[in-house]
Amino acid sequence: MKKTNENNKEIFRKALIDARLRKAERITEADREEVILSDEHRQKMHFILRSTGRKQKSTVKRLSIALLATATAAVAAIAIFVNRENITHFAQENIIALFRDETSDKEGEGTLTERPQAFEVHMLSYVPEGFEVISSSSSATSASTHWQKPTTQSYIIFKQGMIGDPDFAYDETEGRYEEAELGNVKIVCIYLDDSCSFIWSYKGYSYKIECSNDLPFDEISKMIIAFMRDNY
Amino acid sequence: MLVFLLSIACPENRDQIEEIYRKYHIEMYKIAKHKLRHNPNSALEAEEALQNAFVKIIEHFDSIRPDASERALHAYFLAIVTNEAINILNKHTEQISIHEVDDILASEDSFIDQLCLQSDYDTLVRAITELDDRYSIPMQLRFVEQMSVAEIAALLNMNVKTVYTNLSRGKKRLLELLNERGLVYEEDE
Repeated sequence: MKKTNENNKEIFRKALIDARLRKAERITEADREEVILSDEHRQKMHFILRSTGRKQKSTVKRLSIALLATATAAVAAIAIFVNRENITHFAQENIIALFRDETSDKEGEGTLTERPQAFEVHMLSYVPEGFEVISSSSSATSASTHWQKPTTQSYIIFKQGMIGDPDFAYDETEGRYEEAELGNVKIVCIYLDDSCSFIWSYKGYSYKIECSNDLPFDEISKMIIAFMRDNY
Repeated sequence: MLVFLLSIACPENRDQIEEIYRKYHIEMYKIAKHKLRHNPNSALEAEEALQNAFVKIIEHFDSIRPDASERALHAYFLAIVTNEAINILNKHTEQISIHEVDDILASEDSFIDQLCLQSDYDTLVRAITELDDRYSIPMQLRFVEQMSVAEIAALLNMNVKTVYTNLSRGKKRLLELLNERGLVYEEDE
């Protein structure tokens, strides 16, 4: 009996599937060894599986970001006329309010309200090989370390501040913008032509890793994973 | 390895992807390890292949046919991890430049008719299992997943010309394998 072309296509599809599964079965049946996956693999897979992708921002959120930028600019302008202590207070109150409106549905109550009593400096526990510290600074509300690879343009800057610090504000329309999630922590990723930044907040602090574009992504992920593992 | 950036999935797909990982990762790891068995770091490289496979699965999650059967999906995941293992193997071997382009798409229907009309099902399956993965994977994606050549190229990290060539070579090799068994006559050119 002559088969129709559609039938033949279906038979060929089924044959391709059966061949793939049969081939796999032969391999797995011959390999009875217990599979022990490395810790590094588990960490990477956790990161891959728990990551969420690029999200389209709503107009409301875009507006919030714009407001945040405006507020930051306003704070800077007013700073000329009033003393620094008041400005810091003004900035924190206003910018925190904007952040709260924008992100409270995602970050949970604890993240924004748990402001630490005293600033505790956290450090990156992993930095790729070959990088050397060229400067480091800290104050009552922020800390920053700058690494550079000698004789190259490669750099890493790690900053820590209190939530609401305008240093950690970002413009999602600048460069390429993505969001990832590690555990319950949202990480904002911004890619510019020559650098990329990764910003997240946790327990009252904001953190930012800025680095040159030549740094491999697996090194960046290692830095973040190691930081979270050792500090949270 | 693009672990960080390529890990893109819609949140609603995340649970499904985690389920796929739970269900298939041991088998996928073993397939990759088998493919890489002659490399000194086969265990580590198999993990890398598994990670890269999931990055690919996540990236191309939307291109999976909604009506795909469980077996077709299973075969798809195995094809992806096999391809990632091949990509790692290729890092160690010199690439051969390929310049053949065939009219594979135009002759797809007559090729399938020829296979199905002149060979029994079990022989056909056995011949496909003997086909090199470089050829059988693009074939599976083309005919089972019904992907375009451009989609296959993106998924397998190949250029479009290589996909055409591998489809063409796969087709010829499959006919040769069946010919060796005396089941298919030479293709009319």
